[in-house]
Amino acid sequence: MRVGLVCPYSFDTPGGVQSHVAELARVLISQGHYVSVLAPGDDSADAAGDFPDFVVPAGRSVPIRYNGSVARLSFGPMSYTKVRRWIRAGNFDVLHVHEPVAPSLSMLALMVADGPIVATFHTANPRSRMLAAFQGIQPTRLAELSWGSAVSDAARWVPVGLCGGGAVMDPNGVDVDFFASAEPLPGYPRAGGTVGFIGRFDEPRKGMDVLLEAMRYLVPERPDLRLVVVGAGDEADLMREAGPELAEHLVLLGRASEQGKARMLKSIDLYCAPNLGGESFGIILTEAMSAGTAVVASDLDSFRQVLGGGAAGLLVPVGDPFAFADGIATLLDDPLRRAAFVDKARAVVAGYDWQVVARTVVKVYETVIAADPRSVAEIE
Amino acid sequence: MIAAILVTVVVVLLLLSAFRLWLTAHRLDRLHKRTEAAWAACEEALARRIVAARSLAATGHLPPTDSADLRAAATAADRAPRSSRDTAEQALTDVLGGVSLERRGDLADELADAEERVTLACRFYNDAVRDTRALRASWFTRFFRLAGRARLPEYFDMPAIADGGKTVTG
Repeated sequence: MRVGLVCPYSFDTPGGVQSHVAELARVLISQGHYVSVLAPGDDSADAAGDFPDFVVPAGRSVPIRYNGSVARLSFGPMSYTKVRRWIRAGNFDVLHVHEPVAPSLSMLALMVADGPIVATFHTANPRSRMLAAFQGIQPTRLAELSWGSAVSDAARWVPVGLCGGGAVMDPNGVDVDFFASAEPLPGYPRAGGTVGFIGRFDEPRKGMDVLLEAMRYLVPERPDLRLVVVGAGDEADLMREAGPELAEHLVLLGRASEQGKARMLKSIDLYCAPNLGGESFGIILTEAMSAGTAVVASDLDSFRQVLGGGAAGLLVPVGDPFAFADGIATLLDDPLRRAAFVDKARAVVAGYDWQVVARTVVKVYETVIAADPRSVAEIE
Repeated sequence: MIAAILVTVVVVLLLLSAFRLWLTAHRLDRLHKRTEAAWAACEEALARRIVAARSLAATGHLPPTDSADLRAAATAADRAPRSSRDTAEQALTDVLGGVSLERRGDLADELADAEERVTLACRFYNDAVRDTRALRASWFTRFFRLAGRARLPEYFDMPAIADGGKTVTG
């Protein structure tokens, strides 16, 4: 099958959507399909080799603040020409457009293409500013979509409200073996208890405040407890917020590669997800589960679902530092219970393995093609 | 002067209505085509499930009564007219549900695959039906009789398959 994937964000910067698209492309290629990914990026000759071979860069991108972070997007006449040329040359059986909500390549692709189209919405937040700005023109075009598929159950309500198209569950995948086989960081695992957090810690909805408060309850009793943090954000700010009381218990590793994340997950006793909401899936939980690390998480719908209803990890009330501290203490003191969660998590996460997920995605493609049996072309 | 402005306004309004008329007619035509194509895909998926059910009845090492029930249900689903197709397919689902514990190996995989495709294709078809019906229900379409004589598409009550089409095998 010839698959055209459109990613609205540049591969220059790491991000959930980019890694989802790249991983999907890799797995589809490994299953024998032809895949081309159109994404923003420098398309001059001297930049060749900066991206994986399956990526076709669509030209320079501009940074735009979106949903609390900076996204690099391409939009404009140059991109328009590039999208048309790519669709014409690709002769795709199916076009799979990711996050077609921002003014982006994805939107352009939807405006230009005709034929079997699948769309995936990654954001669970239906009311971002970008969306509001474009609400006037979106529904008319999006309603024409052959299909709206969403990354998770929570996220799927976005396309339903937006374009009136139905949705099919299309969960995120995780490369289980990659995380399972990572080496711990030097000096880990260590005695005294180590918990970890991955993500943009200065984003309030990630719940770092709750975790710090929980740590304050715990450290008087546990002088060796350590919190390892991976992710972007203002570190000075975080240390200020932690205060002298917690400073020596915090280890900040900054941003990390996928490899770095995997090694960190292997090094800790317990992964903490104190998020307050706005999570559409919880890919990070599946990564911790793959690494064989026990999880304590806020009781959000999306987390509950990933954690097999609470059988594969400990769920605690959202935004309650005391309950979170209690959860951490319980699991740190009970290795047997931790092992039971890890066992169950291993079984649950097998269903999220990329190979399994990609086979379902291909079935969605085949169904969409069966209902519209012609290749993707430019709209008349 | 005022007459000229009035004429311009009227002409612009007429042009806009004509454009909307053309756009809606075009969109409705596409939706009707999409619905038909989606139904074809749905039928294909259902046929695949019937074939899988028949193979299971023939070689699945089922108790004779189960085998006979399955064969009868598959044949009924195959021959059902469009109006009673949902009921017949649901009956087949129920029979399949009754024998699911006995399923083993390749046949079971094929059946699970067919069931997953049925779920997808039916959902896809129902989406197309909903979009078509929504556009046909709008006052604009009704007032200008844009739907012409095209039949109003009917929803297909998709056979409820446990676990989103994923069957536990062997």
